[in-house]
Amino acid sequence: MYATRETADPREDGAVLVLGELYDPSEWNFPEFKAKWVWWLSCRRHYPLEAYRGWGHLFQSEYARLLFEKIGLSGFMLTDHIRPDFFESPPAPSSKKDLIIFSGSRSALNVLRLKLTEPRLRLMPLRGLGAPQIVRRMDEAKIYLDMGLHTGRDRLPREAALRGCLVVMPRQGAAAGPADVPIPDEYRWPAGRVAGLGDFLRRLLKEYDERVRDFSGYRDWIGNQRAAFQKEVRHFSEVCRDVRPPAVSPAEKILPQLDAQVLELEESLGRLKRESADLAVRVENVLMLMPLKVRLAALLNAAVGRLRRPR
Amino acid sequence: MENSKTFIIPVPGDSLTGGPEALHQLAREINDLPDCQAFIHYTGRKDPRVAE
Repeated sequence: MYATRETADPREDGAVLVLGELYDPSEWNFPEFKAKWVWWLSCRRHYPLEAYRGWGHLFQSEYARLLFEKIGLSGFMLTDHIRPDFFESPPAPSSKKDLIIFSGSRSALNVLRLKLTEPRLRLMPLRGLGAPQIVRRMDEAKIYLDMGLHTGRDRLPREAALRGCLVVMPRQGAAAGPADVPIPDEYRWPAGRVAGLGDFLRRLLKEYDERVRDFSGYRDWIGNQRAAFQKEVRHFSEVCRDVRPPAVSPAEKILPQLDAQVLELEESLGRLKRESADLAVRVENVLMLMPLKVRLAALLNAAVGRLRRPR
Repeated sequence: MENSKTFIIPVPGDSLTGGPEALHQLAREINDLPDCQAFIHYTGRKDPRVAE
């Protein structure tokens, strides 16, 4: 698809290294590199800031750029774009079903909570699928529901909008504002809230034909991303030739801001924890209502499984 | 490789998520620029679908 060239040996004299944020920077400090850049495709940090001393920073989302700016790290925007498959003529609205698709892993917990209260909504995950299967599933659905953390400018909402889905996003992370997700504000749902969501989704399904027009601006914005990305890459290539990346700010200066960032993450994690506890209680209540024979069968299966397990 | 304009982009060989796709997009756009070349360096076991 992207017809790129490969190298088995990354240690190339005078080359510029561009590393995704999931990699450990301390493993890439080869003297051969002229410059090293970390590309924050998600704003979740996995390694201490100190490990990026002397590295430049590239931000895939405005959310990440602002978050890192708060702790004294500046750099350049380097976004991405959606592959051409998703731009091919979208399906006719009449061919859509009353189906809601959701990001299979990051929304799983909250969608499970929703399913428990709204068993009649048709909710289908996008999980473990390649691009052609994702396109097919999006073409059937009227709504793409996302209840994840949004630590960057995610692809699925953009892809779904191109395939004619209404996009419902959580009001948190990169999805909270128009810089990274320019959809009408009414489609941003309070993060982690399930109460009232079923009614909202039913209304969207019913009014799909009119509401799909609400996303024409978002689709246009997505359509312009390839050109924007090309411009960013040109700028980046020029910057790399002339300028060495700035050093990381001294830790003493960034501690208060760093503390604020940690607190923000703590809040997110705390909310997830509360949601998990809530889910556990609900699942327990459902299990209590299960017929006795189903519970006995489950216990029997578990006992057989234990007996068969090798010692 | 002409070193002054060479970019090395490591990509997890076994991940089919959005991150690796963005890294491939970057490599392609760099290769379209005059006097620039980008090379993907796959890390870990390579799934053939990762470059698709």
